[in-house]
Amino acid sequence: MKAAVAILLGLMLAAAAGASPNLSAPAPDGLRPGGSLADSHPAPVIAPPERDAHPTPRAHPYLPPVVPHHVRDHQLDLNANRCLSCHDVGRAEAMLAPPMTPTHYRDREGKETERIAGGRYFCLQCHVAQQQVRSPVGNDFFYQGRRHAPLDR
Amino acid sequence: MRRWIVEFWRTLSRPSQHFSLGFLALGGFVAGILFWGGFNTAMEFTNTETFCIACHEMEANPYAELKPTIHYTNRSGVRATCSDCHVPQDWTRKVARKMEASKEVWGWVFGTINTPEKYEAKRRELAEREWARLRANDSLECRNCHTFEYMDFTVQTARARQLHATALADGDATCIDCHKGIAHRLPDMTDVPGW
Ligand code: HEC
Ligand code: HEC
Ligand code: HEC
Ligand code: HEC
Ligand code: HEC
Repeated sequence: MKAAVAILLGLMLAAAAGASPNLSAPAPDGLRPGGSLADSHPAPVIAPPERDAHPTPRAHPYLPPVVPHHVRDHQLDLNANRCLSCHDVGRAEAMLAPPMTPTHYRDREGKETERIAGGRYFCLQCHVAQQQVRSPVGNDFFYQGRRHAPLDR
Repeated sequence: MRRWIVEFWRTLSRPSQHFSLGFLALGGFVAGILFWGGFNTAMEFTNTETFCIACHEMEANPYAELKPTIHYTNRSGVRATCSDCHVPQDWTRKVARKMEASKEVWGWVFGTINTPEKYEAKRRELAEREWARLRANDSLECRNCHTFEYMDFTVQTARARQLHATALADGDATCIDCHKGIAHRLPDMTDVPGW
């Protein structure tokens, strides 16, 4: 009996030792450090939201700009769309915010709509709020000879 | 019964034979304090959050909605309770608001908003009432905590600074005009000015 347990344990140890190098392989692009499956690493800090950024340069025309302010408690549902209360063309002047461009008032057939087009209602689908993080990988996107890496501050 | 009332009245109207005037005056004074204190204590109790969310309607809706917002959890750990925003601090107005609240007890007994659907259907009406109240008193409850005079515009965000230094400073708008839905989910905002 004792011998059987010892053999079993030995086998398990051998299996673990044999398996762990594979589990611990770093991800090829350097995103994940080695050993992250077999061992535990300290979790990265939760990045604070960017409360008041400056408008981030866009990499190329027609790219939705990122949101340069915090969006905490910004209700966005059937009842209310807080983004519209500042960015709707009728509101923007009073709230000193940039108005949405005409593309937001055009449905998918290209017809002008009186109010915001349905496909543009959920702003955060296209415009993302920012957090104070460094991009984990480099960005080698070039547009018209200009390199785009606005987050690597 | 009638005899008892007559007897009682006689006792009340007869001058006291056993107690001195001083004792009676003092006794009345103490009783008055006890009554007054009791009244205020009871009223203070109805101002606690435990009381507000004792009924299911308030716990399931406004309280649950308050929890993720900045008035419940934030970097400084200071939070607002229901009465901070909904009950005036000034005594006369507080009593007036409490008397109004008896209607809410009625609503509770008859279950006016005891399901999420009924609550949602009533939400606009209830919210309108709070907006009107805060507009009429120049957002007094907000200002009990947030004083315009002590706001440091240099550390506010650009969005906040731009409007606080203009519309708010000039008195063209009050807090609630721009800050609706800072503690709960908003009702259907169709035709609300500014939305
Ligand atoms: C209280 C008014 C207000 C609300 C609400 C608001 N914004 Fe803004 N937003 C602004 C202002 C003001 C700016 C300009 C900021 C600056 O230039 O620094 C801005 C800038 C932006 C920009 C950048 C535009 C550019 O040209 O770079 C985007 C995108 C944006 N907001 C999206 C949103 C979205 C999405 C929401 C809802 C989640 C929202 N905003 C809610 C006031 C508001
Ligand atoms: C389908 C994606 C999409 C959605 C949804 C969307 N936008 Fe945009 N937005 C864009 C694109 C793309 C641009 C830049 C190109 C352009 O000007 O149309 C833009 C530009 C903007 C700008 C910049 C205006 C300027 O003059 O610089 C603002 C502000 C803005 N959007 C606000 C909003 C708000 C508020 C909503 C929600 C009501 C919203 N957007 C929803 C794609 C979107
Ligand atoms: C009990 C005190 C108290 C009362 C009453 C109160 N607030 Fe606040 N408020 C706070 C605290 C605390 C914060 C969070 C400060 C921080 O960021 O650490 C806050 C934050 C805010 C913010 C910032 C939101 C954000 O996302 O940055 C706004 C806007 C605001 N309050 C508006 C109001 C309005 C409008 C009222 C009246 C209906 C009100 N407050 C009543 C204490 C109060
Ligand atoms: C004319 C519109 C307007 C009025 C009136 C107004 N605010 Fe604001 N306030 C804003 C905007 C826009 C922001 C930025 C968006 C946000 O953080 O929600 C803001 C932000 C804030 C913040 C957060 C500041 C920061 O740096 O993030 C607080 C706190 C606040 N307001 C309190 C108040 C109080 C209290 C009153 C009344 C005494 C008031 N506001 C009146 C428009 C207004
Ligand atoms: C920071 C201030 C604040 C705090 C704290 C607060 N409220 Fe409110 N409440 C408001 C405002 C402002 C409204 C008006 C509607 C709106 O703008 O969301 C409101 C509306 C309501 C309504 C009407 C229905 C609705 O959803 O609009 C009820 C009911 C309510 N509050 C109950 C409560 C209870 C119960 C608590 C405590 C758990 C509480 N409130 C805490 C500010 C506050």
